[in-house]
Amino acid sequence: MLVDKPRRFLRKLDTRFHERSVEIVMLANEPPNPSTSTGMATHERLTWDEICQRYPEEWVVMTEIAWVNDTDFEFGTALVLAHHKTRKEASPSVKAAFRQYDEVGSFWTGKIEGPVPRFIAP
Amino acid sequence: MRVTRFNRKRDLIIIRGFVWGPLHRQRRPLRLVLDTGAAETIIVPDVLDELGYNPREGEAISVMRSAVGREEGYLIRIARFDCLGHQSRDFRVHAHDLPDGWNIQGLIGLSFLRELNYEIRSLEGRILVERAAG
Repeated sequence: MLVDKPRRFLRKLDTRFHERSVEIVMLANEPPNPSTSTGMATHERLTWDEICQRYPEEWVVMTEIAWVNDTDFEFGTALVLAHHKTRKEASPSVKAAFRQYDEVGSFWTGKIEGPVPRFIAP
Repeated sequence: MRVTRFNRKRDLIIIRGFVWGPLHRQRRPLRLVLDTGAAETIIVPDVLDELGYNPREGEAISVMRSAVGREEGYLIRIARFDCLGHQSRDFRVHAHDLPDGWNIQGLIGLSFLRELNYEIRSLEGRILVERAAG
């Protein structure tokens, strides 16, 4: 039994899950810009309400989103990877997350507003 | 018939869409404004860049004129676009930046909607959609 334990541990280090954890922790710990607010050492599964409460008025980068169905925005929980003040600041976090995940979203937690443009010309 | 729900208390009809990467492997969920008064579908360039699209793959330069001014973008075909329970492949969108304060990632215009029959039931916060026959 004493021999088995370290062997199991070594096997875990070789798993894809371990690689993913290391990668994302590095992402969260390297704020490229002092104005960004990333700094999450761990990633939590949160509901949208919890995300909005914890990161108000921010762009939140998330993955493993448990969509309720295939048409609506509603989801059960999602894994939050990073959060930023502007959409452009969130972009590097999204790109980094795509190296590990096939689906990555970033959503604004505050009020959505804005006039809609009327004219487009090629 | 597919049903999409939206929050009827908002000023805008905001729905979820997906843009897929060029290799059809990765996808990006977006929150988009449904705009039946817009001819084209707009996606902000950052989103396309994050998925691996390159402006050099664009088909043409496009110009958006609005109350806030004149902005240049480009036309580009995306591998797959899903929204309202329907999908479109090799779908042409306008890649245009939108003002930061808007906090949306694009607009769905008639370039996508004209392939569908849809009914917006504002009081119920629901959009009923079926693909047009023929």
